[in-house]
Amino acid sequence: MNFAKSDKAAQIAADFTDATAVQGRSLWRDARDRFVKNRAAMWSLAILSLIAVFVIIGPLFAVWDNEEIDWDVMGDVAGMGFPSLASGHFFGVDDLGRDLYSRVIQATRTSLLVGLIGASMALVVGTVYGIVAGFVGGRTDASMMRIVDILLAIPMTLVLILLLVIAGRSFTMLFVALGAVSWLTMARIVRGQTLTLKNREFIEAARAGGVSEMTIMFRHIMPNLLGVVIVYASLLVPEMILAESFISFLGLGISEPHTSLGRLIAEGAGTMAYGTIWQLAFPLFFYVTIIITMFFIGDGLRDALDPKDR
Amino acid sequence: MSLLSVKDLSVWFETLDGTVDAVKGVNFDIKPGECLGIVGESGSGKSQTFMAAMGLLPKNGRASGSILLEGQEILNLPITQLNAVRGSKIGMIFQDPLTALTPHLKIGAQMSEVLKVHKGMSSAEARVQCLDWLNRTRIPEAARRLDQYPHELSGGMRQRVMIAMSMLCDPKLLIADEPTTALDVTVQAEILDLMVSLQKDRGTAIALITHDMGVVARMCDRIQVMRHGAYVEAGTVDEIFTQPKHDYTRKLLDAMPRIDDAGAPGALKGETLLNVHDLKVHFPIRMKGGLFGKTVPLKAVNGVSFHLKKGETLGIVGESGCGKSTLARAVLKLVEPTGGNVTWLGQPIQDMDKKTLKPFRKDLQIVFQDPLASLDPRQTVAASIAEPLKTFRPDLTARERREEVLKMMTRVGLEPSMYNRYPHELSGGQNQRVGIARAMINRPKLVICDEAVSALDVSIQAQIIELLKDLQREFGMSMLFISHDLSVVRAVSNRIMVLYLGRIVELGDGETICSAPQHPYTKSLISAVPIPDPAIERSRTRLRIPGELPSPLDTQSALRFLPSRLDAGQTDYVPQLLEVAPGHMVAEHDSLERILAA
Amino acid sequence: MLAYTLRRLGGAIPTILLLIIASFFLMHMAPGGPFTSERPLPPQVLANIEARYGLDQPLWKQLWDYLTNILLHFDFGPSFKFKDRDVNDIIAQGFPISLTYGFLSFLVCTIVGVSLGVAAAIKHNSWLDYFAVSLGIAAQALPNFIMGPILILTFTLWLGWLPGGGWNGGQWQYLIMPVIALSTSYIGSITRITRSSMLETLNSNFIRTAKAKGLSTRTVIWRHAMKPMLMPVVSYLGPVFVYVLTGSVFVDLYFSTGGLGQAYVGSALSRDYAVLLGVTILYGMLTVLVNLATDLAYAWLDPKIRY
Repeated sequence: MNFAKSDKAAQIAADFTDATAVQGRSLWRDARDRFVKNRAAMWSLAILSLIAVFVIIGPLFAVWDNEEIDWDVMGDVAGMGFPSLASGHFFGVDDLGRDLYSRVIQATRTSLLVGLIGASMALVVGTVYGIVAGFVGGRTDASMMRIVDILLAIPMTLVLILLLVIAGRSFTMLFVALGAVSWLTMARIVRGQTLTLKNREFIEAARAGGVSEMTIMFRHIMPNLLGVVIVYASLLVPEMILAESFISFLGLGISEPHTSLGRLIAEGAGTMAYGTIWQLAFPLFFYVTIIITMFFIGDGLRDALDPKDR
Repeated sequence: MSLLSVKDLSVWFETLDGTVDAVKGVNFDIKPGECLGIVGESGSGKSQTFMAAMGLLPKNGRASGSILLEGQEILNLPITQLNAVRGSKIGMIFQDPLTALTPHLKIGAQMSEVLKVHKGMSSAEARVQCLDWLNRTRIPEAARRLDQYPHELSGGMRQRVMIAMSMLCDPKLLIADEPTTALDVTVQAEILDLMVSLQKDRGTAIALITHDMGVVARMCDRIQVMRHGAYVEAGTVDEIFTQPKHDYTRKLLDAMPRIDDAGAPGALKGETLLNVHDLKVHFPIRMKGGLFGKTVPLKAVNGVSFHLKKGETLGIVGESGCGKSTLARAVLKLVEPTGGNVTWLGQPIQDMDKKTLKPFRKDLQIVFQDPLASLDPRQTVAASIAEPLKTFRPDLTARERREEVLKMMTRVGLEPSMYNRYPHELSGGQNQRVGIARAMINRPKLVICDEAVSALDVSIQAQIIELLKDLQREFGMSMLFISHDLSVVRAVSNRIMVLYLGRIVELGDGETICSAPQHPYTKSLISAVPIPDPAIERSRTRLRIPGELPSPLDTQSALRFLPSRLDAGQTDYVPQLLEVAPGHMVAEHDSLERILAA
Repeated sequence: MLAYTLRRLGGAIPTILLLIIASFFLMHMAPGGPFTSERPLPPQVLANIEARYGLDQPLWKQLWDYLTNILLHFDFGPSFKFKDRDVNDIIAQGFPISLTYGFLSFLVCTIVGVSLGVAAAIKHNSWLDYFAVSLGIAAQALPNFIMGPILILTFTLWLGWLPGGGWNGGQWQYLIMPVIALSTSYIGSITRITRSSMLETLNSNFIRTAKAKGLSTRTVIWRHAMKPMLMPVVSYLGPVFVYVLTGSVFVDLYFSTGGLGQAYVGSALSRDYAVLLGVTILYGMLTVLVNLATDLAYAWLDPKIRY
């Protein structure tokens, strides 16, 4: 039998006999525990998950399609289009007689996507840019950061509008434009952190140990950056949603047949004087809930990952 | 009657993890005009006792018991009543003079507000008195200091300002919380002298909180030794130092390295391992001023030559800014030298690129000052120790590597069960053992210890020093031992090199440097080091060289010990190293009288 | 201090230049000329129009003219859509209005946010603190375009206290809602930044020294803690000003104030690039100036920067 001679088996045996070794608590685990203890953040996470579930399985219960016009109520939206289980318009209808329940689901999905995709674009571009600038240092760093400074001095929402007007208001363009304007602060933060880390003694220790620069970057700098990056990205998601909603409210964002919460709120706000308050209330409720929960989650992440910041 | 009388004082903190007791029912008295030393290691609660008296506990801190100041209860007084005492009857100075002054207020403004509040003086009157007190602290150019901001002053000057500020109202009691810990040894000596003379002149009682037995021996009349929030022993200085009764006191005294230690290592013979010739490291520094500023070179290391034998320890001492850490990093090529040669076993390594140098790194290792900062917080202890193994012995299987790491952990005194722990779960001493294990795992031929024990408590420091010596005996590696603390350097080094502003001023074996120094700078340095023995300490005379430690950017100060050359206009003269005895090198200098006259 | 100011000013000029050049090229990258969008024009007419707007010149000449006109004469050129108005007219008409309540909102959110944050930090862990913290997070989720409808719904439609829009020469009834709508979410963020900065400052060593000197709590806070506490707040005020400026676009539109935002959105919808760019560049220049002002304020707070 050469079972016991295989390297894998020996490894398992060693692990088994070393059961006495205390399992350490990594910073990640500490952070997770702190986050779980944060009640506001955990509630927010639960509520946000419910909304996400709602967006996914909500359409199964919809009686009306989001583009279908209910001709029966269209003539008297204020009198007959109110939310009701009987008519199948759970959230009522919009000004054109379309089912608001389906429209809100569609809009929430758009807004969540905008937040996630916009933030991840910022995350990828900003992190790579920041790490390169911080790690290479010297003149490269100086000129790269000069560009960021100049771009940061331009009002971003206006640039966003400019981009969308010039390149056309498509879904892809929206993501590209959001990513294009939001990576700057991320790059700045990551670069600052990289610089601090680069001068820490454990990086010097690795260098003295003959570890190559690339390995240092991946093994030591990246994992230590992750905390800050996660915190900032989590706060970027609601900001992206905010920005998109703002320009959609102005009528410069996503155009029909697509819709977003900002667009729905704008429509609701335009008609609220006629007594169709639900057209404002439902999108507003979803919007505010998403943003507040995301802020609480971001806050909880910051407290968990960067405890000295409290 | 005693000035301050503390009865059954307890201090505790309400934290998320429950109540933490910091001080557990202590009693003591301070008589008018005496100096009481409160000695203990970090976390012993020695500061919290006085923070409670001053009403300066953090928000979650609570205190019970009684503190009488001249018969009047001051513990837990409301702030408004306490303010009549703080700054007026009791003055306080703190450890870190860099952060203890308000950054946006001028020195004069910060000082005079004390007089305005407590004595109701006008600005003009207050200013006169502030200037008077600044002069008494022997701060150079006192009048100019009043209109400067704290960041424009050196650490020593800031501590003088703190002392002047706390003495303005002629307090009965001065609480000094580690007043010299953040300062260089010569500056420390000056500050201590200043406090002694104030105590004599004004009859101020001093409560000196410190971890340093040497400082206590010099300053105090009586001592309280504190541990885990309680007093373990109290007595007069002579009692404590000559007949310590408690084990802990004895341990503390034994752990203190002494510069006059007779059992320290002597000179050594052997083959030369490392040869450094005329090494220079200059950093371009952007100076403020003008529209674009200008760049001047900061000569951190400015032509240093030495050699190191196999199995030898060379101690490198010097005050902050002398370039000792830069020198270490330049030898390892962690910073790029500007000039000079580094020869390792006959191979010049200063011009090698990263790839060629890599195999040499196996034999050249470094242990850092801050044990926590030198370990990657997101890696387990074992992963940190194993990293050099992964680089230099990639042929090892995971299991072999694991065994190597466990063996080394046991060797440096770490429990194998700590294998999966993270640095933040370990104490400072344990983390430093991890750092040493990482440096030692490939059995290097040279280990550089850059202030490797400076951040540790005295008893831990003694253990780590012992460990390093053991490892050296076992593996026969050479060491470059860098420290600002001469006593520690003396305890480990065969030879000692004294640096001043990037240049060697004296190099010789440990015994010679510490007992028969030649260069005036070495002399003043040695005479400033406190010795933990009140009888010796009080009989010693100090050699004071006037002036603050100059900045390395100041070209004139490089010739501080050669005023004759300065007078002759040779401002860029380089003092030569002269061999006064075999193996004893001393830099050129003028006579002591000439230097003091300058 | 003068050298510092000059150097900062020197840094601002390339930013403004780059802004103008980038905007100019963006405009020329746009698909089709500004006059080809609707029904096709006879070639002769098109050529005439292009000549009138200088579009027949070589690109570098156009850029040069655009640049020099803006920098030397502060002239953004003619509007592409309104035949009888140029961009300067449009700016002159709307900008004072936008700037009035923009500036008011900036003041309101700074004053309210800083006071609330300081109060929360001083009364740490009291009901006031909890209130400020929850308000901080809740307010951040209520940007101008959410506050606008809510305010109108409450104060105009239900209570009937305030007019739902218009300008009317800037009377206070017309100002209240736009200002609240613009400032709410920044009150939230400024409160939070101020609070954490104050808490950190109160924990610092020099505050301990000030207390040990026997100074009253009031002196400790006002004389010793205030300036260092304000440093992170001031560096956040620059961005806030920019946000308020952009937010005013919404307020102009929603409250029909007749401010610059209405013209801006209008030009965006009708692709009147001249106005669009003019306003963007104007706001960009303003941003650069505000950033300069925050830098100087920062230098005033921190003696280490003054030189």
